[in-house]
Amino acid sequence: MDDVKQNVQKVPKRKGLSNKGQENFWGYVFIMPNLIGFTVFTLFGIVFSLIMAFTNWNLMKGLDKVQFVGLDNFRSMIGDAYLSASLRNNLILLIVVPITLFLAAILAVVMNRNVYWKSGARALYFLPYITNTVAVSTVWQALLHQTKGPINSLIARIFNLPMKQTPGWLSSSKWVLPALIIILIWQALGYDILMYSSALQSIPADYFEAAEIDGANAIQRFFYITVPLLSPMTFLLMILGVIGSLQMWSFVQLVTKGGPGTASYTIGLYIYRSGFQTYRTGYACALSWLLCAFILVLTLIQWNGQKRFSID
Amino acid sequence: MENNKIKKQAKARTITRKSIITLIIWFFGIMMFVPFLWMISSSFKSTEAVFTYPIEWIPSNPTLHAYKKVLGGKVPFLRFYLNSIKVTGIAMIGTFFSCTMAGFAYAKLRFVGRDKLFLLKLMTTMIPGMVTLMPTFLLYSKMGLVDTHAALYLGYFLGGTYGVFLMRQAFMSLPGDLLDAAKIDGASYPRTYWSIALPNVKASWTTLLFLYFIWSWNNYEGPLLYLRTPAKYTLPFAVKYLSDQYSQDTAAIMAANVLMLFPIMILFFVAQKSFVQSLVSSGIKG
Repeated sequence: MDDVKQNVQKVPKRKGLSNKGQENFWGYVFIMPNLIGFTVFTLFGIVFSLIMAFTNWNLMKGLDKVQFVGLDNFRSMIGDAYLSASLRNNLILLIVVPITLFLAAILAVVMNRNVYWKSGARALYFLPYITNTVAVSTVWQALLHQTKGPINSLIARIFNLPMKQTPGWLSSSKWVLPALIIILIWQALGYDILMYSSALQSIPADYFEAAEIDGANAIQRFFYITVPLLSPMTFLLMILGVIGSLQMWSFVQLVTKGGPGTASYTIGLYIYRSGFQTYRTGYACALSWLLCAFILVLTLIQWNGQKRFSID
Repeated sequence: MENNKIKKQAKARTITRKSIITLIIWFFGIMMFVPFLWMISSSFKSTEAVFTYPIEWIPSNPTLHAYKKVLGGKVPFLRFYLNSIKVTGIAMIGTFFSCTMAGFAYAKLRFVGRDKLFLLKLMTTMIPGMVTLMPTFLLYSKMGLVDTHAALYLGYFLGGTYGVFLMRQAFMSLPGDLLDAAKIDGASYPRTYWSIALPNVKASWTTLLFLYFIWSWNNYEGPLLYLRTPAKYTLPFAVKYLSDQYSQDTAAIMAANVLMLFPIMILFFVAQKSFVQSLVSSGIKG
């Protein structure tokens, strides 16, 4: 190591900078684009949004019209019907995360050992994940159309119902969330399968063989070996899934526009609407901080849950 | 002899079991694909035939009217392709340099304040993107970027938090000796970065480009917020625009979807293995 250091000293100096100076200089040159973006968009954005959360900022009017309104924005959250509907829907939609994880874990385990043309099958499951939300929304809107859609035609045929009595899906406030849950699971499943597959590859096959010799059946092996060893990946996917689900807005905006009524509003959509369509931009900033707090709390809860779980 | 027979039986049993499981997995896999099948099949139907029941998976009277309608719109569909290729191409270049350069510096150069800066970056990832959505819009509009493609790709030159983490991780796994040797040979830092560090983490920056390609190509929120002129729309937003125009003609909407997805699906099935592999590895590292 000393040798290396001595040799390094012999490197001819450039532009009169010392070696340390060189490293400082080039270090900042290399991170410069990123640092500019980080300072301007992230740091400035965070501070600006925090300040604007206490104002009546309207995106259409100039910044000179902005007035401080104290805690008004936060006070008007209480009793805001759109907000409470959004929060409720967001909580219900979280069910997508564990269901997807459960299905993905089973499919990944089965696929990992016993399937012909494995990568082809995986590709089929993965395709919805790389398909953009516009295609997803337009195709599912047609598939789930209440009176003409093929899904309801099928349901009507199987249960011998008139079309009027089939689920209203996206146009009924009772069925809209289940419909969204189905679409979201369909879209996210492939990604979770991939992640679980990669985690499974790191479990030594000996574990399973040893358990098999000891007489453990497939279900026991799944619950006593696979599930515990997959738990770090489950934890990661759970946290990412919850954060993603809480922030979702453009998907809902495309599929249902939050409707019917407020039946599928999410807090992300409400922030977008307030910020860019009804121009209560200050209020939207305040809402985005509420969302931030919400995410933080849920992440901490999961973190604690994981700790307790992994100590056992 | 007896032993051999048992072995053969066991082997036959495994094959049967594997075949049954294969059937089940492929059955559900094809179920996952059914919406795409329906989309493709409907795009070749007349407007009236789309919703007939039972579903005609292979249209009895195939027609190209939907494609003609979509391709013959006011703005040529090709325009949307070119817009998407342009925006995503420039975004890829931006991502590549921004993320690999910053990742390299954070991993391998000891500059003043490095660890503090990185920690700060790490901490801000906890704050949701919705918080900076409106300030960013304000900045872009002050910079005159509303209704320009630059609003869609500029961020890739300056940002990419996830990509920076990914690349930092990759560069950190390079042995220090490799870079020390370059230093001893008198290579400058830019040279070390370009001709020694980068070629050694090719797998990681391929992953990086794959991921950001998908994000940029599928970006719907960017054009929704920033673009106003239809001739400037990129594909996802253009398809949304067309689907609002042709809301009564499901066949036309499906044709637009097929045109949008076709190249990416081909690309995906051709490059499936490395694509999937790179995503899997990014999951472990990220």
